[in-house]
Amino acid sequence: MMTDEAESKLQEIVRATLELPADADVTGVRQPGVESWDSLAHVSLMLAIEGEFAVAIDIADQIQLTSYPAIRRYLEERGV
Amino acid sequence: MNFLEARRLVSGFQGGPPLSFLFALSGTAEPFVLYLQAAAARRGRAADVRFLPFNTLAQALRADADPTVTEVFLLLPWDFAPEADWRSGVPEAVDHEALRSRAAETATLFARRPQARLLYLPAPLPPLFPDPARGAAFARSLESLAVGLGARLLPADAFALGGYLASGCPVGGTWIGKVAEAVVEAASGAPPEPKKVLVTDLDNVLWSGLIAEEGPEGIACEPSGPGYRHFIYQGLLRRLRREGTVLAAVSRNDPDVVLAPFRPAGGRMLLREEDFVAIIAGYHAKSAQIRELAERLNLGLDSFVFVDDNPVEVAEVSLALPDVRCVAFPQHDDGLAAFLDEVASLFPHREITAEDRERTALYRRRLEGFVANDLQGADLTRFLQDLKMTLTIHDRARGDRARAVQLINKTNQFNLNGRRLTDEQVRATLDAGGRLFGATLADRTGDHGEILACLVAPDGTIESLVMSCRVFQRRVEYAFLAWLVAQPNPPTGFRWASTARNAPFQQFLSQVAGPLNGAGVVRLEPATVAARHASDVALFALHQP
Repeated sequence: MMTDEAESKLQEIVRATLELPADADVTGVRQPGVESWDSLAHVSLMLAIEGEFAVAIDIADQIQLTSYPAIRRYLEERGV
Repeated sequence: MNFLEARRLVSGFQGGPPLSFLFALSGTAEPFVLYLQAAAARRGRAADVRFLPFNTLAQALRADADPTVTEVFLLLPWDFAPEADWRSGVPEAVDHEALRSRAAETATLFARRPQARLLYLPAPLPPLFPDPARGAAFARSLESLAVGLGARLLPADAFALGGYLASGCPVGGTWIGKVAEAVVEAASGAPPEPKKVLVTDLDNVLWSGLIAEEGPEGIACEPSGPGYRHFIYQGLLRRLRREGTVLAAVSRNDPDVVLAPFRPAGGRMLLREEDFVAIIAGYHAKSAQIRELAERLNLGLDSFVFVDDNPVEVAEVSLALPDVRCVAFPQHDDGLAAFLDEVASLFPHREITAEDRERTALYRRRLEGFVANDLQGADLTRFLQDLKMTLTIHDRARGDRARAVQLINKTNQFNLNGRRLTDEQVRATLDAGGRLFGATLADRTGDHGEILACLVAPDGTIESLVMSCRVFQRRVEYAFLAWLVAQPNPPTGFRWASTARNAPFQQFLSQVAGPLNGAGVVRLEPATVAARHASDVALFALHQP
């Protein structure tokens, strides 16, 4: 189960890398629905998650992590 | 520096002189932007970075350098040997001599750009040769070429194959901040003057453990178990001292306590007392001790490096003495190699003279009689606010009180009276109407666990108040007391006694209750404490489950 602190960090990262407003609810965001979620933003998002949660994300996973729920689930499976 | 920290640095940056440079690498450079801006902001500079288009480094290298542009190259093995680029897969066959020749030719092109600042990331190579040993030798030869050009070597772990294949960015998220720091440092100008003095913390830096709490036998600095990292760090310090670096130590402790491990009878440390020009122990601001040390040594503060594991201490010295280079001792083994590399790179010595070897003895004579002073340090309010501290206060009169009782019985420094209490004694106090509180602390540096315990007798006297010294300087004790006196039936006094180790508590008590006159019950004025320390309470998000 992800801690509140980790979840809060993850949401802050998603908002910042996708340039969403500070009060945006990001818990349901998905790549096709967010214009700013382009390939460069995705790279920044993956790097930020790796750095913040000390994980190394494989290329196959990077391609799959295109929604907040998927990222959250991925991190939970890695004990974050 | 991770993403959120970089964001905070950039958003809080007030502006400064521009730091303009071309950042050249053969992969994708754009993900570095935020981290480069943050690293420059940390130096008071506004990064103005230009990149090469993707995969154009080889062409750019063949053009003449613009003498007005600062160039920083982050080089990878395949910048010398394109066949070794992972993104091209594994070649069916390679001509070893042709590879070597092309690498040498590329090195010649770099040699024509003497003003370029080079960083080399020795990423692993794909299997190029039938004989693996030849591949390893080739990788080493590329590294030698880069070093021969004056490149600074980065840790190979910084390379992330997954990210490189996915996006072309060769550095992973756990390293990108550190690599950006190295890039900005390279862009910032000529290599800085070597530092002269390394001031190190002791607990959990020179050794593992808290000596005042666990005693000399409880600390570890041997090449095994928890002491291994500290053994390696001591090894580096010993080498630096031999090369002429002046070592000093500052610690929040009593002088006699911290000296014990250095004495030959202890025999467990690589470093001896005489390896240091001063070992300063006390409970006042570390910045004040360092400033005084600099004056006594007649050395500029910009020649000092300070190493500490506690982010609050690092912040205090950084704020009070911005010229001092502060380096955080890593919390985990993963950070050790980069930390040692950073420290070693601050003290480069191309040759060692007899004077270098005698420097410590010379400065020790200059510092005879040096004692810790009691000057104030930096105002940490803003830093503490930024820590986003959460203090959760638990009523331990009900339920599990094991950690609270443990704290009462193992804490030496921040301890009201040094009294040890069994669980039965605590229960008897509670059965008679007493109260027991515990407090846990978390902040953006992590979860510190249960760090405070307070037992209040039925008559309102605080019988026990202890706090882990790991969280000194965060104003937890003041905030807790201000909270406590605002509760129904506030406490009326402290059962105070001086011990050989509780000087930090004495300092606290003097501030909340005025001058102390011997042992006994020290009266507490709740209204005064609440008013005086309301600002400390405001530093925390307070919770009561």
